[in-house]
Amino acid sequence: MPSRPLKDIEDEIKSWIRDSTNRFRAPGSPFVDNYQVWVLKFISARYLGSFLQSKLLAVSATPGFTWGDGIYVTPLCNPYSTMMYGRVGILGRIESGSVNKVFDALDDQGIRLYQEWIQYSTFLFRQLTTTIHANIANRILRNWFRRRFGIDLVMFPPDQFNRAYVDRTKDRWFVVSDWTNVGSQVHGQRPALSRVIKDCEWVAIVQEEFEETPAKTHFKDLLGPYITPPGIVRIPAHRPSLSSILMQAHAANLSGASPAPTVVSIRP
Amino acid sequence: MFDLISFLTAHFLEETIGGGTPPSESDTRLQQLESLLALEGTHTELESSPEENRLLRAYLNLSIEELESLSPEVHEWFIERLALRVPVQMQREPREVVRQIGRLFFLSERGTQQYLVVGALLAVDERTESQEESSVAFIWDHIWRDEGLTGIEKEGSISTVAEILLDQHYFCRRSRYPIRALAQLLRSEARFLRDRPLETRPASGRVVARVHLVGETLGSDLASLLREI
Repeated sequence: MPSRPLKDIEDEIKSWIRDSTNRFRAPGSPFVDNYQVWVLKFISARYLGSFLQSKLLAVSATPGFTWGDGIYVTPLCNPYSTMMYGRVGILGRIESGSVNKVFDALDDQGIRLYQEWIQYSTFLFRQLTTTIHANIANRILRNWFRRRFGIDLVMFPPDQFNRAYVDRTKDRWFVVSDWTNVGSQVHGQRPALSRVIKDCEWVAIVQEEFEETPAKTHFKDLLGPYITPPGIVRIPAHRPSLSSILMQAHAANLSGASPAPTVVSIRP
Repeated sequence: MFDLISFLTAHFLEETIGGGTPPSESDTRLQQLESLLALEGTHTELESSPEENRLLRAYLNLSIEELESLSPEVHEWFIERLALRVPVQMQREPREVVRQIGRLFFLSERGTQQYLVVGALLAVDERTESQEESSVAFIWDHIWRDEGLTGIEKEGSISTVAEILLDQHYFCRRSRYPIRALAQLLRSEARFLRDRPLETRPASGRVVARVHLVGETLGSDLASLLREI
């Protein structure tokens, strides 16, 4: 049961958002490079053709996604972290000026504030905690939380794992908001194409095979263990980092210099 | 009844959302559907494509029996769609649209569906810039007049509507539509339960409880609603 006025919690949330945003955009931040936030998304090869027609990423608007409706991506500094979601790597950018409000959901304080806030929505909180429709209630509550405070980006830790490619303590995952033309009474967005992430280009093919476990918490890597020792992903010392290579591929594809896209093969 | 395309779409939704499909797979399938429904060359636009209009119109014209044959997940998809879009039909027959959306409140005991119905009716008010009675009134009018419901059942349903409107009010604080609907609900409650003390009425009781929960003062917008009755 909430123990303090809603206004106090909301003021604290706004303060947390200011702090989160300042940290996100601070000099030396691993996420911002020359006023751009470079982000990666891995999609199934089945959808590469439709991506290449629009070069836009779509909003995920299905119950079961971690922080509600939005575009789920990883920062370029964690290039391997979400490879298990698809063989095709897409790189795009968000202008840091568009990221005015960040919510840090890694820190206990951010999590606690969200957990406190949702308890005031007694109808949905009851659906969340006492019915089998928790996924739907979760989606609605998380959407409203982000809309209520105008949050552009939520930063959160991985909640699905792989022993070799996901570092649960260091990796960061993002959900980017796009509420274009969503009325004030509507909690969520359509699974439509978004223009928030710009200059999206196909830059990578993943040469690893993943298998989701029955519990859905982990993805097993099936090739990696036979090429490298388990838990270790090696980048040869003489090669530039994967992030740099992906940026080079992006620049080549954006310029359109070559009729065929430049694509990096990401191998274990 | 559904035409062939609408029938196939409903079947696709049934399999995609309700069939135990993993969220990531559901997500990409729904994005494929979206690409077929969206106006060519646009994204997240207000205006519906001809395909979407046809689909929504077919849904809005289904009979009760046909609605009952669809799964809650399919209904929730359509309700969300109707909240986001203004079907062409709405401009010509707004009452019919409100009636069909409102009926979905009673079609299911599922709280999330009832929540989405109220949200969609408020969205109709916003899209049509309604100045008169809230569209949500369709629901409470039917509750009060349903002679098949016991007094306790009526109070339970009215409490649900009030609680959903209260959640909505706090989510979208700058919007007048939830609080206007609440005010009208409280007035209707005052008419039907005029002999009951305020704090024992289902909707008023919910408002009192919420004012205390959020720690608001007697001068708040919600508290002032109770003084107006």
